[in-house]
Amino acid sequence: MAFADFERRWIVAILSGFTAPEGALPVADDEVDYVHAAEVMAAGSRFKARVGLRVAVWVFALAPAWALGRPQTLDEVPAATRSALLARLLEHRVYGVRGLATLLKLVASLAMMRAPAIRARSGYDRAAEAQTRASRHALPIVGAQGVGA
Amino acid sequence: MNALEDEADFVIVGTGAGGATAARVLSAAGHSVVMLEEGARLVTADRPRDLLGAMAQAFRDMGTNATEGASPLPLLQARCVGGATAINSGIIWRLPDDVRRDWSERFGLGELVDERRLSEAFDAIERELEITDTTPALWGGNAALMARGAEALGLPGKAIARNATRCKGAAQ
Repeated sequence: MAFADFERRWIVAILSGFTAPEGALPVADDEVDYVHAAEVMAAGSRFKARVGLRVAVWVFALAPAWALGRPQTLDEVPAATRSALLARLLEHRVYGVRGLATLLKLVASLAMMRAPAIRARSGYDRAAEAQTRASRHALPIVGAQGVGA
Repeated sequence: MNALEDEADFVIVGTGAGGATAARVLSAAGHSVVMLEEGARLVTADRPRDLLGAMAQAFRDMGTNATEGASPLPLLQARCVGGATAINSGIIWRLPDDVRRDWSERFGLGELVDERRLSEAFDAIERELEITDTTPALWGGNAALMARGAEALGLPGKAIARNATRCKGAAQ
């Protein structure tokens, strides 16, 4: 599913709004490819989830209008307002809004943790020494195609 | 698509926990078994370290499957050799007894879910897979925080059992 240019701007505004520049894991604007993460998520998801992701982008892009009464899209409001609004929507009284907010925050997290610098700062990765090449009990494969086996 | 000719006593579709267990039992009983799997056989060294890439490689539909009904629940499924056992961090636990009783009563499964026989089967599986509780050395920050919180509140808690005896915690 390809996103239009304006939807890409919305995606960056929404997903970057979930990160806190002054938080325990600071994230710079140009460190994360949010659009790529959204595209990978959409491309691999089933139809309902793809639709849900696009609906979420639209609902949250228009959140300043329906939640704050301001005739703006989310990319047009200051970063601090954006983050505060998203934090509110994560706890919204309507389950569907909370669910969509969680979905978007999940995509933002996946995007963040693709960035090597952020991963290094997070301390998430441990030593790669445990990489193994083969299973102890490798099964014989009698045929394979199209799966990279 | 290339045709593949083979012959076996049993063909098992899917290589996850259910399929693998069935294959193990049938094979041990002397039957020949072929297992079919739509996903790839993943080698640890080739698996992406980032979750987005790992999900794209091994999760069915990027983990967006859900149960049908009024209250959909997320239903993680894999698409690789090993099925969900390859993506669930080796977490493995016994069928809870209330679920066993519910299945027995509602579906008339009788001795198929007999408590003693199930317990023996679980014992055998846990021995073979070397299932142990996760050691604190492999806990992540979240688990350590949860343990501290449970202790502070006086709530019961224990480490999750996993089949990861030789796991070194490389997040893969």
